[in-house]
Amino acid sequence: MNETVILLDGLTKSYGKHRGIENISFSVAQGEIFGFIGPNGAGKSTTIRTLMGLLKPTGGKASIFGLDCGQYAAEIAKDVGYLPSENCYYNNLKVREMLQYTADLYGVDGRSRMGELAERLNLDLSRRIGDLSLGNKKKVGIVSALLPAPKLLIMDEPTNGLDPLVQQTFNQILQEEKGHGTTIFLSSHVLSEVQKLCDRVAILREGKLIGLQSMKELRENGYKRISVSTKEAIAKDFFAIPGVADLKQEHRSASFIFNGNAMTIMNKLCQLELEDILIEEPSLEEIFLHYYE
Amino acid sequence: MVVFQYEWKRNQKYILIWAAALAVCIFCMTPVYYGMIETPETLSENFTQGGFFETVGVSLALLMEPLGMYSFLNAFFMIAGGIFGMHLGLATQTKECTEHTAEYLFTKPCGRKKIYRGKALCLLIGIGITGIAYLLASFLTLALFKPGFPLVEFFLLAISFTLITLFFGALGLFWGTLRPNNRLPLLTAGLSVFVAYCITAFSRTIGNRAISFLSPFSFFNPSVIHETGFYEWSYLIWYLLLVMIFFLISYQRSLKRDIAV
Repeated sequence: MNETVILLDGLTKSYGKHRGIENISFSVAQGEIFGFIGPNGAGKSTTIRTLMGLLKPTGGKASIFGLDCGQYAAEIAKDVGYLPSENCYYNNLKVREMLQYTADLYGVDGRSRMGELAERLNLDLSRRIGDLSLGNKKKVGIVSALLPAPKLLIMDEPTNGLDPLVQQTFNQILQEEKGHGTTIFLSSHVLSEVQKLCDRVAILREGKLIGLQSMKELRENGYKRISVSTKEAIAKDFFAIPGVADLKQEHRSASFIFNGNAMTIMNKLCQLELEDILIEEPSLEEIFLHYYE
Repeated sequence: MVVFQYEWKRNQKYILIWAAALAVCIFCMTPVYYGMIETPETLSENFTQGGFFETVGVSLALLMEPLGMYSFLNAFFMIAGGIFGMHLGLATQTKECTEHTAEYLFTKPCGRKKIYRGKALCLLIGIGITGIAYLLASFLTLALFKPGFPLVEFFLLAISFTLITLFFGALGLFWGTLRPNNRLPLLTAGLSVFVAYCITAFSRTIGNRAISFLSPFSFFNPSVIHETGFYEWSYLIWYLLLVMIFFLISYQRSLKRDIAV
């Protein structure tokens, strides 16, 4: 069993009238790429900011490397590379100066790594931060997070603003980091990104954790996308059985997600005079939307 | 020291411009104002009858002394120093929030204690440099245009400027930790200093000592310095207490507060 790197136990953060997060509990093991998904405003950034010691929890506990996130934020940060969702860099500094500041704060000589990462991500180190586009500012953040070669990477919406080619390079870098034993915790609302990278995923809705599964489980947990077309009209409530979701039915065709006993649905389908049938694995997007129903 | 170095780099131009501007102004304005009072007759009647000088703590008798006009001018430079100090103190705390850099800095291994110390050190050094520039320029202009002034009294008057700047710097730091998302630090500083100045002028006009404790401009009265050769102890102790409270509360608060991003 791998060592636990991140542990959340009943973590709660409330902002008075505004919703924060409520009773979030999960753990992330060493070497894992863990996805944290949910729509905007679900509480992903609040959870991450609490983990980073920026926010003090109103209940529960959060720890990284066995240390309390609020109390030992500075010690924890020595081994954590953090990429915030928003660009938060000093606009008057040049990229090289900004990254040197990061290296200085971590007490590392990051010059060679800075050069290597900047080259791979096609980042111009001589430009002023304020003059950069959103995507280039994101690249500064990625290099800044990777610069100290941390044991844990926490990335909030990391690919937001990156073009597909850079996203591909970024994914490669993350896989390499994983190969070196780095634990990666990333939040996203882009499911394809999570699908490509993550081993496990936590799903957040309205500040509450509603699902925690491995990617494999999530896809193999009985969810199937079934599309049928028939020779005769399908009765209106024909698919009104437990396990059917996201039903889209027309006169002689229907499409739905099914999660349940395979024999039940097969018996049901046998009652139809089928013209065509397609049974496939639903995309994560569809499973995710199903969670939000 | 890393946080201090970058904080200094960020504020150095601002500090040096203020230091140079204040030094040049006191150097140039002092001989002009001394020229206005070559004889008491040259003073505007409005000034002499309206108690104008008394509101800044300079009696007519003191005005005719070697350091009288300097004391008068110093009162106005203390307003400028107060605005500079409070703006710098506020900005060191609010800039991270308003420029959205807090999430970067506060997630680095330096920790909140070092960040606070780095910023406070930058504030203190900024105030120190401005104070030294002001003191030297004041000394130079008086030595050139009004030689033979009492040195200790001059020193106490010139230091009043730095003490006022420090007071408002600490107040800015304190207020900045309470309201880190303040997007108008210069306006806040200007208004706070103006209100404090009005409180002192009001307390002197109506002769109410209790009210005078509410404003630092009352603590370093030039007439008292001239008469007793030092600041009033009660004010000085109150001043030190307030400055310490501002620093302590802002320190404690900056360790515990949620970082607004």
